[in-house]
Amino acid sequence: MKFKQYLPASSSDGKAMVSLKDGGTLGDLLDTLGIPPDVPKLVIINGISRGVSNTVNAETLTDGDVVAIFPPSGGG
Amino acid sequence: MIRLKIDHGKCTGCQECETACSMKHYTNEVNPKKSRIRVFEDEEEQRFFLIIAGPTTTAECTSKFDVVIAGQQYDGCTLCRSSCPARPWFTEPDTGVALKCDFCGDPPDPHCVKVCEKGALSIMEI
Amino acid sequence: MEAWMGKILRVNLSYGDYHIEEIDPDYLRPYLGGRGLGSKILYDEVDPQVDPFSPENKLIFMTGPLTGTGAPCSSRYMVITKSPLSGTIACSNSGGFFGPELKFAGYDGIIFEGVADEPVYLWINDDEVEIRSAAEFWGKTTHETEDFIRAKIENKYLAKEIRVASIGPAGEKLSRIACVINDKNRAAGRSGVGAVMGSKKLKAIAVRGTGKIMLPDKEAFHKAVLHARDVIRAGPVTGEALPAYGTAVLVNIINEAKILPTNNWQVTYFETANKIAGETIAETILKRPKGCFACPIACGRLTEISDPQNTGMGSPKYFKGEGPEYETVELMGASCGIDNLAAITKANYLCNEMGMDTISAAATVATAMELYEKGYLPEKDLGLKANFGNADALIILTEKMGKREGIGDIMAEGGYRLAEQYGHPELFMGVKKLEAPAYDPRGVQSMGLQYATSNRGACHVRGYAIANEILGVHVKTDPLITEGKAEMVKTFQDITAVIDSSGLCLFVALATNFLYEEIQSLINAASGAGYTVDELVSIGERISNLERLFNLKAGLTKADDTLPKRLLEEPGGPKGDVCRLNEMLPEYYQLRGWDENGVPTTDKLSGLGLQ
Ligand code: SF4
Ligand code: SF4
Repeated sequence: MKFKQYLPASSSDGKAMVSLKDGGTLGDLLDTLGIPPDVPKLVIINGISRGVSNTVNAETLTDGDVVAIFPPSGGG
Repeated sequence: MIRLKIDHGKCTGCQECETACSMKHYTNEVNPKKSRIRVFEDEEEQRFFLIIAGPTTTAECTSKFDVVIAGQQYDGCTLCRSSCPARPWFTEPDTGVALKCDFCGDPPDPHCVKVCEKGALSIMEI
Repeated sequence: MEAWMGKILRVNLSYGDYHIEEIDPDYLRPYLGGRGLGSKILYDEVDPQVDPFSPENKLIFMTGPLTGTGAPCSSRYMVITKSPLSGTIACSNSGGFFGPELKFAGYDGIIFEGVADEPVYLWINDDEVEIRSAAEFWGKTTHETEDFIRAKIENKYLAKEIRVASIGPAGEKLSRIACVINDKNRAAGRSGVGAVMGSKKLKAIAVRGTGKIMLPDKEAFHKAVLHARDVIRAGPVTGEALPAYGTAVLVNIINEAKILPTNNWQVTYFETANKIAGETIAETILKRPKGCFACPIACGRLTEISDPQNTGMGSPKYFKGEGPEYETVELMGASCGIDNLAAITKANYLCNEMGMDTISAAATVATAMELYEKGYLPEKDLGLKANFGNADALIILTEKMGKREGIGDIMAEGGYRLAEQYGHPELFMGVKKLEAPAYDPRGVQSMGLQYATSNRGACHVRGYAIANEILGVHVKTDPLITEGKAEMVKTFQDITAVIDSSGLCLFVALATNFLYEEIQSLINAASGAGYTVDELVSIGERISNLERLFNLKAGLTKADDTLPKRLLEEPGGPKGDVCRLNEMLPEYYQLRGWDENGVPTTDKLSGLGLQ
């Protein structure tokens, strides 16, 4: 699917390790992966879900953080 | 001349085209049984067939053929576009008047195409 | 009074007769239709203390004003009765094509009273109403029942036009988790409404309608419909995610949020969740999306599997069907520790054919698995090793439950009664004896309050707070805090009651800008009834309170507004928290205008016209 195109070649099962510069933000991560900032609708950092727009530059990531990035999704 | 082009692969069987067609042709009512387009599900093959009302016939025909689509055999009557005494489709249930697609008037303005969210219906110039 | 048909069919199964009643517009207006009107009728006509299986209990099928109009997602009908599972008011919702067909036949709803002597089904072909013998297909599955009724109709073209709602063997055998299935794979699932239908010896309802639904002004209605469809298309969830992946698109999200119940809620993260996610379904077993009546979303999944394992059962017809949906795939999957999508799908098909609620059935299997692993439920009772992750066990236990064979006999009574029988009711994960759906409130606090206070027990579709807490559909809230959640849950619960009463599908509310105004403009354009938004808001509140009153009279108390011990005491979720229900519940009672025991105050009731 479309969203998968952003996965780095080294990924497996939809997961990949990504290195960022010190003090890197969610925005930097999206940059590294080549994901336009308006594409993801939901990010979950270490199990905490957040809106994207107010998180992109605000949140500094640290070593070992698990970030899940989703296109629009929902509905049970 | 225009014709309606059907992409069966895109249809989800929602019947919205039926409600739109009936709403277009009658004053202030919704009634899919009076629609000039009908959708039927083929459960075996898990797909939907759209049939658009064609010319009417006053007698049942004698030459019935089976139709084969993607390896599956269908009774020709099921997929026939005529309003016909053998079937309840494409006749007004209360009056028995035959129904035929008129592309929603002149100039053509097909309401079924307008409402189909999945793009299963489109207009084709021929 | 356009949009409503203005008529209800009242069928007395004990006497084998029926009559048609006109609906008094003044009686209808404060309840809108569907869930509201059905609940009002049940409240007025049935003693809440009644034994759900007795002839005095009634079974009500009710559509809403928008059902069948062609408004987006206008496919819904409700089944309302007293629940044999929870003892609360039961009110289960289903889509497909049955509800609209009932309206085209000229009725807003059907009320069943009494009990038939012999198995029967109700035949409705416009004005022709008949109670017919179902002796020939009593014992058959829901799919066989529908095929059987069709086959009996002489004109095969006419036969294609009928719509059937029926029960399977589970409902006949009074399984407390039995559902009503319509259009073969759509379920009015929860609360055991299928068992009440079984107790009345009512196997099915077959309906064909050639009539019309009147509109006061079709141009205005058409405009309202187009606007509503634009709003649905523009919503990222309703416009993109659900059409492409169906509801199971949630699996990966809920898993990453660490609220995915795994191994009967012992853990909240499932390592191999991706194998059962909507994305995988789309890549593997999906044949085609299927829409309910007039639905622009089409979240239904027509799927096909090849024989998952040699479990030695299931005819080939068990390998094609609809589903699995998110709740099903999660509870049969992660909650049972299973990542075999084919096995889950097969168990889902079995539930549809047997007429069992997939949430309750799956949760009951998960409970059995934990009981087994902890050594409380011996292998000799089970007839197999039911460890977590055992896909064969899932399928075999599901079938046994449907047939009430062996251990299936007690499992068919639901998870609570199973856990209680084996001495460990605390391992039952649900509220008011209704099994919980697949969101762990330890990582999304508002859902804990929702489960505890929902009028039918642990339920996600009475106030889908996930929309804001996780998905950020309207606003993005912090799921880990309790502040403001009482208000949020109340708001969600009330708007849900309005949507359920209107005949729309709850999923319209997952469109970002689908709010009271959109509902209002659709209802008014279709009916000319001129509802104000305030009026609709109070209808939602009225229904919530009416249902609460029924439950209180049925003997439920504040003590039932609680959660399983595991969620209140064992840490879980992303931050190792518990659900802090006690921080939210008093505030919720207060906002509702209820006293500290959760009883609506006289002021509140008279304000809502419920005195
Ligand atoms: S509106 Fe489109 S998707 Fe729906 S039944 Fe008609 S053709 Fe099929
Ligand atoms: S073009 Fe118009 S008349 Fe023909 S089927 Fe479509 S809606 Fe009906």
